[in-house]
Amino acid sequence: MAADQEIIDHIRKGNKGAFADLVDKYKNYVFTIAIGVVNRREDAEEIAQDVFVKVYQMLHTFQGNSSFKTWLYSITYRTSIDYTRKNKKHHYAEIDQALPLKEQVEANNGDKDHMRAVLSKLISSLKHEDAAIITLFYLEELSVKEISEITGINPNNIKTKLFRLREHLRKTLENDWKVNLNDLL
Amino acid sequence: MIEKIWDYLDNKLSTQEEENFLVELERNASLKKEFESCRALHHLLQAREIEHPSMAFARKIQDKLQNIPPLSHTPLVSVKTKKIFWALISTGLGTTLAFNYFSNFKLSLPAKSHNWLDPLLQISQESPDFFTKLAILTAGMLSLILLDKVLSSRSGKRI
Repeated sequence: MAADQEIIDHIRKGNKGAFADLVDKYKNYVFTIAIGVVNRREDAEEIAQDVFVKVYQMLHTFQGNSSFKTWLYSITYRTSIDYTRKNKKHHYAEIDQALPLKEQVEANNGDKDHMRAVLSKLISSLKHEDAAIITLFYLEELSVKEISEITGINPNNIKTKLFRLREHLRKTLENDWKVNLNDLL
Repeated sequence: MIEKIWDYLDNKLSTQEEENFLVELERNASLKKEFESCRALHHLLQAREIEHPSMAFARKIQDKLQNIPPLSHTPLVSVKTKKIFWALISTGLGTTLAFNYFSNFKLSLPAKSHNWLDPLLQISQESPDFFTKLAILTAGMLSLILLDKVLSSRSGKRI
């Protein structure tokens, strides 16, 4: 697959088809960040579409000071957070759906695939910004510095948040939901 | 020590720190237990899978792009806008100079002179920078409002 800058040059010359390559390359990552924040596939898909439309409209402003990936993810992050602020009702409905998870965990304790799904739900019930940080760090394997550029949060605060969030997840699973994490190794 | 565990799992420890940590891990059973628990969560988080949007995702974007005009290569700020911008700046500076002139002129007027400018002149004498700041602020505000209008009309909607 062609390098990002090469694709961007083609789009800037008016080649709309080249934009399809960019969408194809990043759609899953953009969608994953969005769903990590809003926790609804329909909303995440709408957000991801908006993100790519914005990218197309704003591509002439991309200076290349940061990588295209960082620039794209910062648009995704801001669009997702803005969406949740405008649609608070939806997110709280999802948290309600996450509550019976404890019973599901007790029934499927030790099933790694099931635990992954449970963990995703648990992450989605965190604050939107926190869910995004965990997703960017683990799924996108971005550095603290890159996450800081995307979210606009100080790198030291990102480090602190990462520590607290992981400890929160660990304590919730082990103490509240009685999951034996060591069994999953 | 828990922070050290996460630093180790994130490969953030120096060689020396890592050696010290591993020695401590071997002789501290409770640390070892915490480490195993953190490591399990770490692996679980790493094993989360990338989500996939629907099959129609790319087509929906292409449909939306059909309604968007081609990328513009015209200057962001037109000549007319530039003229308005400089007119505003000139007005601000002119106002400042005029008030400075009047405030200096007041010094040579008879003490009993009263006119509608007196309250303004009094402010300018008590706070010489007041009108300068006011003029700059006004010009700045008007410029921002104008820029916002230009960008809004250009992009079609606020981003």
